[in-house]
Amino acid sequence: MLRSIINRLLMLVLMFVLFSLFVFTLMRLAPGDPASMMLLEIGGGPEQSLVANLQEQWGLDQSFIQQYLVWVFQIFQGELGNSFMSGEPVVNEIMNRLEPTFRLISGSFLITVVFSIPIGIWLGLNEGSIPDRVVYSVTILGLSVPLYWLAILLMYTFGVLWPILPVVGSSSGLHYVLPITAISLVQSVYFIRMIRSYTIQYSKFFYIEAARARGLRPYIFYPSYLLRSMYIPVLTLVATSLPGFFGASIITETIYSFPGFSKYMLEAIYRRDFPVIQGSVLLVAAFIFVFNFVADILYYLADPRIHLDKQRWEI
Amino acid sequence: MMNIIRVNKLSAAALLFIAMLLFMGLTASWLSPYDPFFTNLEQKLLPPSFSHPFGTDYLGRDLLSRVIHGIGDSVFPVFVVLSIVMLIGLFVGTLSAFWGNKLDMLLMSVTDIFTALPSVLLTIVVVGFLGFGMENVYFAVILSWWAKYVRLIRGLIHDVKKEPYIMASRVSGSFGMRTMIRHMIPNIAPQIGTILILDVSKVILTLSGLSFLGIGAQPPSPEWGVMLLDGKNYLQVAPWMGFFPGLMIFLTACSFQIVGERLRKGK
Amino acid sequence: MDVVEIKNLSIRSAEGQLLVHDSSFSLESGKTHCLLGESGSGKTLTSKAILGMLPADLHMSGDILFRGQNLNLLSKKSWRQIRGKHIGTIFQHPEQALHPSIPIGRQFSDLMCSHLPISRYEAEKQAEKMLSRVLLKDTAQVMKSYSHELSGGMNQRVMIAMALLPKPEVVIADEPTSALDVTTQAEIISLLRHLIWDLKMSMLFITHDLLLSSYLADTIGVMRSGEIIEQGSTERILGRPEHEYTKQLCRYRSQRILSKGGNSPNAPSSTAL
Repeated sequence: MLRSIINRLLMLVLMFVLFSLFVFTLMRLAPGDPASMMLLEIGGGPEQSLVANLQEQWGLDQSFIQQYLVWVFQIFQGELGNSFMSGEPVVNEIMNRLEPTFRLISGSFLITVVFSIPIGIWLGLNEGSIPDRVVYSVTILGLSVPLYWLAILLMYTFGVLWPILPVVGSSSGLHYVLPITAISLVQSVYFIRMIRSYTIQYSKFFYIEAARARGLRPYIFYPSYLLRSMYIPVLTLVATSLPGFFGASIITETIYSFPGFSKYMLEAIYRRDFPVIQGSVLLVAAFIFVFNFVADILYYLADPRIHLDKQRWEI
Repeated sequence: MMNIIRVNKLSAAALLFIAMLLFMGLTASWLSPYDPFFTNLEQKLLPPSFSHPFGTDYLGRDLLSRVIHGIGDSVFPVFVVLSIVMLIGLFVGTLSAFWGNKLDMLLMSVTDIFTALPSVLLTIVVVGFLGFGMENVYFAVILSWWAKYVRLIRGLIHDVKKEPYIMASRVSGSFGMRTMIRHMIPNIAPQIGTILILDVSKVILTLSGLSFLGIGAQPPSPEWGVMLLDGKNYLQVAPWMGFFPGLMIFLTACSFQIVGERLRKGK
Repeated sequence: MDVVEIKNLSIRSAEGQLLVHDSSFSLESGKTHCLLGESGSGKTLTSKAILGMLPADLHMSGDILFRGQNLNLLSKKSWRQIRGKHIGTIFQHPEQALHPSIPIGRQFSDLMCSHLPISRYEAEKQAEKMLSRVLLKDTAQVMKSYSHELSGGMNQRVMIAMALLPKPEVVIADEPTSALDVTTQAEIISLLRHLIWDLKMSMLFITHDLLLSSYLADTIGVMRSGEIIEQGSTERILGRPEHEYTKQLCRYRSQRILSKGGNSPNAPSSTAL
């Protein structure tokens, strides 16, 4: 148990190192050097002396590895630099925008999970029935619906044709309805399909059949026997879906002019605001990696076969 | 029985749609009624009518012609990207499957890392630092997909290697790489083909999505994502501007999904 | 009196293939009926039909009477209430039949609380008592264990305890020992026989082993490719088989006994309890 956790922890660190190296390399590969870029951004011309001055100040005249180490060291101290655009520290800029995005993602995440797990299980248990066939065909279509199109259609329907919901901004709870609906609809399709197929697969397991033969009450059987046995694949599904939700938030925030973190990051890409891009990707990566790490730990807690301290024993 | 016939009809319709799409894409310049780039401000924002079946956009360009020309910008790049990914997969995958041990282990840990990195992140990093435009977007997509194909192809080859007739051909002395590949490619091609077709719909959603976000294809390209973005800005006055490109993305993705799903279930 | 009566049971696959054909038999109260046949002969399907757990794509016709009540007419819910409570089941692979990530004790109390208005504490106390009746030592420890921490024989004892705990009228044992090694097999069989007799239950025992059925059964039905070809009392079937297939089975058995050097054919080696 402890050993596997340490292994996972090492893996986590390795992922961070490699990802940061990747980010750093691409930053250096970026066309135009950052010093002249910044001077251009703040309105000055790329004068040689100023550029050299900045380059020295940022350590751009050192070797690649040195630069990388300096950079990592700075990040560990929480120095992500200032935005080219506003001149404000990147950390503050990001923190100010995290809340609406967090609400958006967690809201659609909750709705997706709450609806699709029971629906998926129910369909799986009634495999081949008419509702199952209907919903399953709909999910094939649903997998191909572009989120950006769906969001626009929702916007047109409830903002233009039948204007009952606000479609711009995030100032009230109502503003969350359409973005969350759009994300949850698209994600649920995938969730329902996966959970349906897990249910079909796991109901055929012998211990589920046997539990059924014992005539357990439904409120005991479904959560603690069937769902319990599907814990690991469902957990994997949930853990690996986080990047998908994040990608979806970029699209919906842009469409609904939602002043959140994802839209801010996209705008930073438009403006080539390197410190902001760098800070954002590192933050998102950290979030996703740690999330996966937690999921890994939960696997070990979920499966008693990993309890190594107890030995198999005989009478 | 009823069910099988219905699904067959559906996949036949999907196949027909794909065939039409490819045909129209190749003959776009003859088929389209207008020049997709010709602006005519007197005819701007016209709703769908007989002379402009899909309507016109804010510059008076005919949307039907743009949608048809868009096939070349939206669908064909998907094939290019997936072919590159598949070639990388074939090359690295066979390498990994045949030169076992150290190289295999190294390649597998590299692909492990790449499959663990979410493609959203990779794309943002690549496009964010290297700038936007289709080339960088293709690069990002290839970067996030190649590992999947390497692993897939390596796995398939490992399975095929255990088949008796391959063992027999090894025993009988045809040990060379070339013979092996000649025996194996026909055996793994159906599986790879199925996965490729299913992935077409994922990649087209990704590429058009990035164009829609403004970091892929750039205007005045008739790429469907770009057109959808224009449509979003004119949603109140000209909803048809976004509707048709979106519909095309949906139908294309859907057709490939249906065909792929059908192939996966077999016959 | 018949506890279970099967009348003209037929089971067809979705493609229309006949899997069980027009079989009828009855199980007398307090007696053991043995379904004897090779694998694929429809024994297990028959037992599943009695439990109402046939796969959805199979089509069943005929009547299944339990204490005079036709089970086919029951709602899903009432059928569930009969499973476990009135008909207990012992499976072939005990370690696969217990949930791998739920402690044994919890599975006992889940079972009891599903059928009886008792507390979990009470249920676990009863379960521990039952565990000692199936000759498990250190029952408190077993209650806390997961099934993978127990040996195959222990798992089967747990399975038997679980099937018998709600005091069902009928126990269905589907090849309960074929996955175990020979010594454990003998122990489990004699334990099962003793308990069934002691608790005055009826048992439907499904096996391919003529030796086992001659030891346990009061009546035997021989199944072959979905049909019951011959049934009657154990003495009759074994003493005066009528069907060619049964005769073959008996001939094979005597050959086996001869080759073993004429050991007592009727009981596995250790029957002492």
